[in-house]
Amino acid sequence: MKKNTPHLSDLPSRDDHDPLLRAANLALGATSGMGLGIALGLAASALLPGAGSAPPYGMLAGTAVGAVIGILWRDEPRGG
Amino acid sequence: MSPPALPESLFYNSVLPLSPVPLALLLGWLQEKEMRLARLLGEGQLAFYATLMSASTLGDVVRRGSPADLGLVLAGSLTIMILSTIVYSVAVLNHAPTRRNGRGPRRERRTSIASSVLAVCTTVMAVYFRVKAGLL
Repeated sequence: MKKNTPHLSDLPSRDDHDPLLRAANLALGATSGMGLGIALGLAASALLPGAGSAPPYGMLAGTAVGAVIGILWRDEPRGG
Repeated sequence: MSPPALPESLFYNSVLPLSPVPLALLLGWLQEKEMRLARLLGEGQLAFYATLMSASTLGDVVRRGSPADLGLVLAGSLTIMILSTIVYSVAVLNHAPTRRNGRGPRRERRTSIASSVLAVCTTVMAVYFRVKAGLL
């Protein structure tokens, strides 16, 4: 009787080696950081008189920070 | 000729171009079919909207002259274009006929959320840059 052994790719594993999911995480982190940076920048420009150009700076900073967080993000193992 | 008002600009530049998304959701609801946002936006459709908005904003600000914030507009537009490229690339590669190993829906969901947030951010920044440049 043939033994039904599971293939290695069918086993539950972390998604560390899936470049597409990592890229999706990067995009999600960067866009979320961008949105948060814009929101904080708009709030700062509304509240502080000398912070008129805060939204674009907040956007760039938030994107950079969010991209780094997205790259470093690790998903939990599936099905384990 | 006076510059367009903000609601008018938003209507022609954002509401009308993005109207197929809510209309498709409405049609799906009327036909009692499951129309998830990830299914509608999971192929990176909104990446083109973000790229077009940032490119047209950059073009308008450049044509306006040389404002002090031109470097910021350029940096913001380039950032949005690079992120749009990443979102669209992930979406296209995710739909390529490869062995997905159960990760396809997760990528699709994250891509659709990222493209939706990117579209909102692009609209806000386009309005901000146009107001700063005196175009609105």
